[in-house]
Amino acid sequence: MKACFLVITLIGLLCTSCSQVQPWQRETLSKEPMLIKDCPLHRFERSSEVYREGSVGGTNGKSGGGCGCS
Amino acid sequence: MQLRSGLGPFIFLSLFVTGWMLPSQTLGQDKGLQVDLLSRYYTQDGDHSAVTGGEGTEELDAVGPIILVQYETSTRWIYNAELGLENVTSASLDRIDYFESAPGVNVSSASRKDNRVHINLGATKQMDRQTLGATVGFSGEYDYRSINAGLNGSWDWNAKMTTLSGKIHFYSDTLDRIDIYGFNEGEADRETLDLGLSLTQVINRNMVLDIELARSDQSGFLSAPFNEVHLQNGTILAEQLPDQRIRDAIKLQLNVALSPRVVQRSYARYYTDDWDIKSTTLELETHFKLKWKGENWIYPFIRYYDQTGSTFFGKRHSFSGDESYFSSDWDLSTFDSFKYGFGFRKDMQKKGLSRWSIRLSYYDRSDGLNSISVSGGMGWSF
Repeated sequence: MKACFLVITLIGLLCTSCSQVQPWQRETLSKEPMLIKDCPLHRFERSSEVYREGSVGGTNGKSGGGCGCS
Repeated sequence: MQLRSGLGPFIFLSLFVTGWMLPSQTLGQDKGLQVDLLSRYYTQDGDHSAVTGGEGTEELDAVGPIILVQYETSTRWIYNAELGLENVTSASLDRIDYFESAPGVNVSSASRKDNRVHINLGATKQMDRQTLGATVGFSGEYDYRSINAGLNGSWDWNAKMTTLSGKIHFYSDTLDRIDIYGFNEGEADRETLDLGLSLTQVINRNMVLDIELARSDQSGFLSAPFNEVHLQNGTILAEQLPDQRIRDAIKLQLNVALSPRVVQRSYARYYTDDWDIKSTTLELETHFKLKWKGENWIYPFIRYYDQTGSTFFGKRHSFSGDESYFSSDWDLSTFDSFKYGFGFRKDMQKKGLSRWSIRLSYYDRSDGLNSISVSGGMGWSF
């Protein structure tokens, strides 16, 4: 519960400190490592993790469809 | 290939016919074609194979390429196609027929080597502040076939500093019920519905935050029919798991450019499901830009994962057989794991061969399972 409160407070602080970013100021944000999506090679590992662990979700990974890795 | 309904081809045709029928906007030349060829080698080993009741080799090797094709038109349509092949060699799967079906009769071990093929097609329409997309796909292997279809969309506001995205994806799977003696007992079905909602917020010109909620609702035959459970009295039965599973996850991701040449990617996820599994995942990737021509990034990464196991899991000889559900699949047990490695990406920013990348990782689980993954890719822009 404390951790949850801390996370929500942190997110609130980050969002209230947002500053307007114009399109011509987005050079850094458009760099590959700044993108939210994983690089294609990382997807390979996400796929293994789904089947070698009990968890799924929050990774843009799939949860069905077989894997060839029983 | 068993497409039990006409859903897949119907959605695929609808997608592309709809795309071509929409009024085109004269925005100039098509943005062109991008082709990426990726390949990966994966090897793992461990001593807790579920196929042999939680004890036995988990040795497995997998290798295979994936081809990704993306075409973006001047009318802001993006078409994607993905074709992947995978060859899997599994020592544990070969043990399905560990016990002879009859004295002197050993059933086939064709499952020792398996090939998997998967195909996904997608189309996305970009509008001024919205995107709308759809995908369809197929996956097939020795004892498992799956079709899937999904819709996704996003909406930008606040001068495109805030993006709300949603997706829905449905998988319809059919598996052969290869029992613990290697006999095929017929087919079974499994359905999965994935829902995702995410909010991406640009904090400033050097920081972006993403929060994602994900739910996965699975139903049908969720056991692996060839997984053994060895009871206290020595009897061997097949794994029994519920036919329903609801899985929830929340993810936070913060990407920060610490300097023009250093980007820190931080990821945290909390997961829970109704099989009583809870887990926490933390990932850190630090990207360093090299002073070479073009965009060149090298990045070490580390991942920590901690899982509280399912109440349906038990070690060999821990179940009496009176329980409703039981499994000796250590993927459902309590453990933690570390993964670490590094990657490199070079983007030449030109036509023709324009990018290549490699990524290596080592995975170490507290129950003794470990794996190595080596992957690489090359991309062409036309």
